[in-house]
Amino acid sequence: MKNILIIFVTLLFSASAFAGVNSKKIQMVQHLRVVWHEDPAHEAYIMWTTDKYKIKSYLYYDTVPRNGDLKKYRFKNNAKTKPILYTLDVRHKAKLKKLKPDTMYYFTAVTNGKKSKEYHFKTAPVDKNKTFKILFGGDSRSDRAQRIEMNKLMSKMFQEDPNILALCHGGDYIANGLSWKQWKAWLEDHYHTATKDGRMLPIIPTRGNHELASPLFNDVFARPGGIFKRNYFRTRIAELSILTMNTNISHSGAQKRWLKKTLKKAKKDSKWIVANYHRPAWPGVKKPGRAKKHWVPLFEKYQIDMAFESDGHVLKRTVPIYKNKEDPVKGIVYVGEGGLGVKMRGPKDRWYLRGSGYNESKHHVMALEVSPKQMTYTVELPDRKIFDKMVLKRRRR
Amino acid sequence: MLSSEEQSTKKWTNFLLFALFLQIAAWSYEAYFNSTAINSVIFLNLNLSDQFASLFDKFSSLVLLLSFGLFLITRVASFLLVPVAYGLALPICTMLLHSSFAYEFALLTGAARFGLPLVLYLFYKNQEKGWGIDKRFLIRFFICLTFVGHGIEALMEHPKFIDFLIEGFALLFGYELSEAYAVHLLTLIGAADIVLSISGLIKPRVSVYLFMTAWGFITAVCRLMYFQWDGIFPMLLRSAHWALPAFVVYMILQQRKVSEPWKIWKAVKG
Repeated sequence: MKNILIIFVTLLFSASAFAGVNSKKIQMVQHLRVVWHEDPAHEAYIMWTTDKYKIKSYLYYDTVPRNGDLKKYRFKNNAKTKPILYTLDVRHKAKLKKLKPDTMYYFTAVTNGKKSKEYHFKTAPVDKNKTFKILFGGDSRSDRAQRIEMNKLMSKMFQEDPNILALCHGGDYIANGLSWKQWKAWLEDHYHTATKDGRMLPIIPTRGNHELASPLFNDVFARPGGIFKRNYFRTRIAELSILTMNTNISHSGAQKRWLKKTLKKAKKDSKWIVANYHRPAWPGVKKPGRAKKHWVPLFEKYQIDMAFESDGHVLKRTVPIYKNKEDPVKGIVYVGEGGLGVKMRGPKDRWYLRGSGYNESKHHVMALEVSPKQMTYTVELPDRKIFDKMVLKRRRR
Repeated sequence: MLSSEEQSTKKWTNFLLFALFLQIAAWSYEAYFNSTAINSVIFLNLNLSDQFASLFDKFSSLVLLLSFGLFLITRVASFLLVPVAYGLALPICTMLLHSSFAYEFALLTGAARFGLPLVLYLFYKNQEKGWGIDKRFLIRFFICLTFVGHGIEALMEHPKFIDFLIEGFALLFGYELSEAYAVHLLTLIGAADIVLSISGLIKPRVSVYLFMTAWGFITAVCRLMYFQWDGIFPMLLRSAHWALPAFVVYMILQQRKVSEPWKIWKAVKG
């Protein structure tokens, strides 16, 4: 029923977008972004938006800067174009495959003769001895000025630390997932995360409750998880596995089976496993989500290293929790709750947020540094203070 | 001296009051110890402080209990307008937040919850008229809205319902239902909800409302099964979902002069 409705609406809006072909020249290439899904060492999506449907859309890229001189780029990819639902804008998506790990790629997007500025990004490493950092954070939905400030903070961090590879966003990008106007504002603001010399911060996307079941999320982030899995997937970066889950769909069905299977695999092939999802199992403000019932037992069984949660608009860190109790050996620490551009909530008192845990009303960006011997978790505040630091050693699994 | 029919109506009206009490207890608990959609709207949409939003939740929790207590003591119908207003405010705020599954239908799914105090208010405001045909229709109307709302949610494949089905099958039959089967089953349930509620609105049948009573009760109790002790208040919150259809069953039986409950099968056949 739902699928039929979606297909019908898609056809309706596709037809309306096609009707606008050639009626007006495109304005500019906008909303350029790099999206990572499962294999960021070898694959990446470069996406952008234009305001009219055009078939000729390309991405030119190379491992050395070419300053937008299209003839000099060694690689060229056709970009798939698709009208964005409910709008007359068009999304362009170039999937880059067979990339070299740990390599800087410079790219320029071209649609119907209009080209973007040259940007660049670095692919993820596969070398197990390589040290790298991933930024984490969520909830950037309702305070635009704060969101821009947080994006600028990430840009500074990115500029100063070349080991930073990507941002793992925990969801609730905008207040209404069905509003393209809000998505556009978010995408415009995302440019603020880039460095001054044009290095883009790739996004590893998570669906939040404000994205609802909106198809725009898939339009913006290239349907993470693929066609059959609904926005849950594993991102592998050297020895780190990031399991991104979708708290907007069934927790106990196919997703739980996938989680079990993937944890089994990750246990064998990854030294570090972290989970990332929107609605918290151990919330700082609201009631626990269904992740607590369906996923936490699996996290505990397979001894993941930590879990990143969003949604509550606080900054929290739990004590290590195992079977509903504090356990410094087998316990898992749950961090996050989202503060990338929302009004922050007042902290609530919960048993798991006392002692080594905390619950604060602070905007924040989290960073996870992965090195061969340890993982270091830090929390940075808008005033550049390091609020929290935690070192994680390899777990016995 | 009340006739046996009047006594029976009084008992059933008290039954509705008891259901409302359970619902208010659940509302109050949720507002006092957790946070509500109203809290989020105050904090995020109206841009007031978190402390004020929490205080408002706690205050409304106390006002709900107090107004119900005052109603029980004084029998002044106007006190029942407080739960009506609260019951309406919750789905409206949910709709404003754009954050939960099928939020567009929150007013439909919550109809029985604000409908229950509303019909009781109308009854107590003009008690001598009793449960007239207008109020009976209104009850059926609120039941219909609620079941249609939940039916639409089921057809939209509400993820929580899928999890309830999978978990329910595992608990009751020791068999893990696949998500695809759960979705198929949910489609049937959703269609049944809509068809039965509309048919019940057009022509009230005992069999239909008995089914709705049972289904309303099962879907409320499944919260307890799924969330264990945390499910008590979500279960109580849904008291109107089975109490209102049960009341309609009583009304139909009363009209047919079926006094003994064990003769209910006759009414079902009729």
